[in-house]
Amino acid sequence: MDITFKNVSVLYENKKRDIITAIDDISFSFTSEKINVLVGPSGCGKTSLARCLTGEIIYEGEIMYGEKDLEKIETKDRNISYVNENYTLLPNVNVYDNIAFPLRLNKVDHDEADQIIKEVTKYLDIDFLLTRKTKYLSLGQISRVKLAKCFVKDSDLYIFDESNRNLDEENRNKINRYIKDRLKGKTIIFITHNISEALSIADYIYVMNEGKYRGRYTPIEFLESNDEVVQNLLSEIKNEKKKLF
Amino acid sequence: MRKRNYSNVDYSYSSLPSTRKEAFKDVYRHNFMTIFKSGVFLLLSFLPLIAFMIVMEINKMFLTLDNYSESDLFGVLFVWDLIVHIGFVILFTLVVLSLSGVFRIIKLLVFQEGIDFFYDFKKGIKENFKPFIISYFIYITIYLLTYLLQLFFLNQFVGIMTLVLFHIVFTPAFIWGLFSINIYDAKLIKHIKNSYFFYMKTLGFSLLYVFMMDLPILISFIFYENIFGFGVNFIFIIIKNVLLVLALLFFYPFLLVVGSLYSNSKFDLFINKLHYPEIYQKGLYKSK
Repeated sequence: MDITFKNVSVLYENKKRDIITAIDDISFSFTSEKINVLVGPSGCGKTSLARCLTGEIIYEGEIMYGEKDLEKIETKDRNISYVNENYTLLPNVNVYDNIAFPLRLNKVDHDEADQIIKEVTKYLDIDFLLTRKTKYLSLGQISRVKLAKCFVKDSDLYIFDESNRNLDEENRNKINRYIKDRLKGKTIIFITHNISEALSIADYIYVMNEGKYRGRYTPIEFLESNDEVVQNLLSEIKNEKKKLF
Repeated sequence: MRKRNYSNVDYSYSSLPSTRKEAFKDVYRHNFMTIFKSGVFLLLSFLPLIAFMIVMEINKMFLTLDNYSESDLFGVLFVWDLIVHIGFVILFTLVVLSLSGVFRIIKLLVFQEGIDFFYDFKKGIKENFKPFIISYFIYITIYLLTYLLQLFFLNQFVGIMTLVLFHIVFTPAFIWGLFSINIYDAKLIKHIKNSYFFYMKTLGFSLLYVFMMDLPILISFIFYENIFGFGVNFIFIIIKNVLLVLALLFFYPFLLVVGSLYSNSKFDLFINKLHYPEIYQKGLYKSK
């Protein structure tokens, strides 16, 4: 299922009542059944784009969700799993119930749900936390619980919005491996500011800058691109390497 | 949006219980509401029995020499006692039903597994009710026979001691049986054999456990009616039943957790280590 943006814009009012353009008249498509990585400098509109899809913000223009106009699909019927940076867990509920929540909403058979939860949490090394309330967990563990909650659900579209930010490299690699192997054939939008990560996981890399769409690249095309924004993004990796040595 | 504080450190294996004692504290700290909910379900199943007992106790207050002759009163009290026993046997089946569900919840709690309360409660009933109710009927039949037998003893002390003896011989084994059924899928005769084996191996604890189970009932004897006037007796009935309600909510479910943890430790020692390694020390985190 392709996701096509046609002249989509997002405007909002900031605290000073100024009108800010988060997304400025963009038109492009995310490819179905592929890992679509969205990159760009902070504040370029990546999260706003994701939130258009989940129905959290109003947009101008048209978004086609497969064959259908997204606006005509109820948010609950879009079947999207979305992990973002916010605390989207119930703090006074234990890990198991938090992860089981979408499965219960979808009326998945309890034994089947139990098996899925155990399998995913074991993979993410949070199986020993099932009876803990999420308020006792560290940020890294909370991130993994949020990801587990996303993985257990059989969705049409998975959106990972900086979902690996609080994880160490080992866990990041583990999560990315899961996305690559277990979610194969699903449409994935992976938002990150980490270019190394983007290159390692992407089928296609989409670049945004100042609310505008800059282009779509394969990882190799991205590395060879002369686009100024891409060059700036790549320079971050080079700088990181310099810091290391 | 309210700012949320996170733990600065990972919740690690070392923070998890490694002994049964720690496991109890852990279950108490992290799953108090689940245990409390189990208590609520126990209470709900007890309500018909409590209502029945209140009616019967109020009824008993009118069974006095003022209303009956001495010869009639003996017969009336016998019939009253018989009705109480029959009513108890029937209405307690509802409690057994609830216990079937609660036992599964407690098992999952001490195994540190996730719980979907209503689903697991229902699943517990589905899995445990049949063997629980058969065990209960065996136990209660022996009790009724003992009760009828003690009626023949003219010496009241001997009669009471017969009932106490029944309690010592059968009740701990019955409770061990329930814990065994809750974990293992085996024939009833095997559970009965196992329950006596474990009873003998843990004589002191088992008797103490039964004593603890009886404790709220023993305390309620302080408020024994039919000594004072109608008003005081009525208040005593209320106090007794309020105590029972509190015990069902805050005492028995926790006692079941203790029993479950203790029985699991013994099952580990004599059964699981060799035959069921997958549940050996389940719920304890010695090391990763």
